[in-house]
Amino acid sequence: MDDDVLIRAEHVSKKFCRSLKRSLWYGAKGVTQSLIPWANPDNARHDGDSSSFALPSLRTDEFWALRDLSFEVRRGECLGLIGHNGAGKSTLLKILNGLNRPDAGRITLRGRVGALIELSAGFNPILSGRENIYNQAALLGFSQREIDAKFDAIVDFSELEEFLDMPVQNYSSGMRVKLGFAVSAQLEPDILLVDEVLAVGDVGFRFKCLNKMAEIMKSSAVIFVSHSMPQIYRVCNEVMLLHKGVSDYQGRDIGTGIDRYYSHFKNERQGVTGSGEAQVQYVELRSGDQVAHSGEILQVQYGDDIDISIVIRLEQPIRKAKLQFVIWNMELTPVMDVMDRNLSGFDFTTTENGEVRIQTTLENVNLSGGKYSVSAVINDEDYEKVLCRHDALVSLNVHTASASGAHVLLTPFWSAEI
Amino acid sequence: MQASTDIVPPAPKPLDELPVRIITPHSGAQAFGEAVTSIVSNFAKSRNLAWRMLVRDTSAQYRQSLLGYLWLLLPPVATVLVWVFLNKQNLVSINTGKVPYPLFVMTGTVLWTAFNSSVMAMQGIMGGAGGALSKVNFPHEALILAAFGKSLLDSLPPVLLLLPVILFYGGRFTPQMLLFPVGFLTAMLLGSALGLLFAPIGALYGDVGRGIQFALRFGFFVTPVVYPLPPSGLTRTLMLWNPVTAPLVTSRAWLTGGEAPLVPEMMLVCVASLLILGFATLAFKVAMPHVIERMNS
Repeated sequence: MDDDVLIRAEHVSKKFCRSLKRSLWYGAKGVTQSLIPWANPDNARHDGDSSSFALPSLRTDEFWALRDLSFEVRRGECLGLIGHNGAGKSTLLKILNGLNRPDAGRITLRGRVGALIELSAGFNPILSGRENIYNQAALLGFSQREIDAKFDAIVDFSELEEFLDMPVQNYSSGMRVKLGFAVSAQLEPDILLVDEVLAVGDVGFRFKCLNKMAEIMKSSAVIFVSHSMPQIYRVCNEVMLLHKGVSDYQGRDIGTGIDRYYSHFKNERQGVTGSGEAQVQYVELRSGDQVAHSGEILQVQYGDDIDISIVIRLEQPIRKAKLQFVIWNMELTPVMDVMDRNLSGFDFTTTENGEVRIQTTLENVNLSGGKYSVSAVINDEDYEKVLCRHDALVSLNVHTASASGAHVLLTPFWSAEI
Repeated sequence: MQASTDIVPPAPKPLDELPVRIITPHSGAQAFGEAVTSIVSNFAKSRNLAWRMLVRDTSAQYRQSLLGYLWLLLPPVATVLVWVFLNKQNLVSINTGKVPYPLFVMTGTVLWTAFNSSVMAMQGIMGGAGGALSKVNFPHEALILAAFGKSLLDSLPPVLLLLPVILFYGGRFTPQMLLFPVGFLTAMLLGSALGLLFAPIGALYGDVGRGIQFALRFGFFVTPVVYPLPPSGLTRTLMLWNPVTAPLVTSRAWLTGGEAPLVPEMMLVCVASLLILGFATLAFKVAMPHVIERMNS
């Protein structure tokens, strides 16, 4: 193996079975067949070393959970795995962790593997935190002496000293994660597998975990699974987008990978709430030569203008209301509120027939690359009642030349004094 | 960055010193070869983990109870009392010759418990590991060691009760008695071998566990636990085919005095159990990946 490659996966494939009964039957068959060395297994392939790359055929109800994945990770590098739920990320982690075997391909791992996955998997709820630290550490492969040496560091990291003799079943889920992470963090792995474990726990501890991970990452090869794109931006230098078990994008351009990830999401269903006394009749967004109507996606280049034209109908006897737009990112964080100059909604009055057409232009849209969704919010004059809140009215797909984990990119004038 | 109180990781080892692991799909002879290597290198390493697992499961099991570890003694004592009562009332009348009936039943029960609890401990090896199997990569040999420890723990306390009972009935020490552990261990090995053999399939299909429980209940009556080996008849033939009979009858005779029958048969069972246990361990390793990917995760 050349230079510093610690993880090398070559043409890895894995199949799963949809039906439980069949899956158990295939399992029983697999068990018996693997016990008969001369048997010709169902997954027939030729003998010999290169053979492990030959794909076995699919049996009834089987599908490829992973198909032909190849990648390399060197020491100090981090490969981000992104994709929908069920795309195969966890399956790949399990194979790398040696829990499941691939059905084709080969994986070469160098060094000690540490996994930050399901941190509290080995806990016994009846036993105290102290006992569970010892058990968990033994499960992860620490010797008795190593555990004794690291016990204080573990307790210290977990911040759970006063609860150490309480049974773990009385811990909150956040406390359990703390305990689990504190033990796992003592591993000094060459290869680190991380699944989204940091979603629980308070902000302070999450920050501590991220720092600890960053410290481990410096000296190891990391595979990082997350649904949080800002985190992927922060830690990864390469991404692989999995879609139905196949690599849909793989490369060092994180932004492109994330764009594609977002483009796999179907448009959110439009949701209309509020009193119903106002409705959006028609909407049209334009940017350059691109146009999008209700429910469609507008392709926008960073820095371009967006022209919005919207037709609103108010129920009699209401004639006056306020309109504003809210732009959300894919994590459903509002990143932009579009208002009138007085930082309140735009006041409008309808014509006799209850309708009005409103137009505005968002100049030099400086959103970071990614997918966004636009809501229209119509309030009554005094902000006492929401007349209409129309979510996911239109989606924006913003393209930038370079990637960033931030929501907004500013490019002001700079100067330096010599 | 704030100062960290943790141990600073040492400089990474040079590449060629790192252990290399290659994961490929495998089956047949290659899988067996890998299983042998892994068993050889893992068994010693997994002792600490096995011990931890045993302590964990035992203390968790008895912590939620008032009588605690007394439960290790109660079931065999209860069995003995029931059969002594039945015999006293002449509901079942059993002639055990020179050996007092309570002592006879007790030795039988102790040996049967050794077999029975070994089967149960090994057979439930996967379920007991809970979610850890499908989530943490640890040497699975530890499970086998821990299960063997668990069956020892379940079968040894009743043996301690035997000593005062022998003394009470005026038994005297004979050198033969020292052979008792051989039969006791044979019963355990046999039980472990059979239990482990069915463990992988049992983790896939619940039928296996139920079937084994049923077989054990039936087996109790075709084993001379509470009555002696009959001199003739269908029962005798059945019992002689039953592999538990030889170690049980032989070591009971060793302990309670008298001529020990079926010694060669017992030796045969002992050797066969060792061989089956070896094969079952290999089979367990080879079958593991097939089973784990189908366990709840």
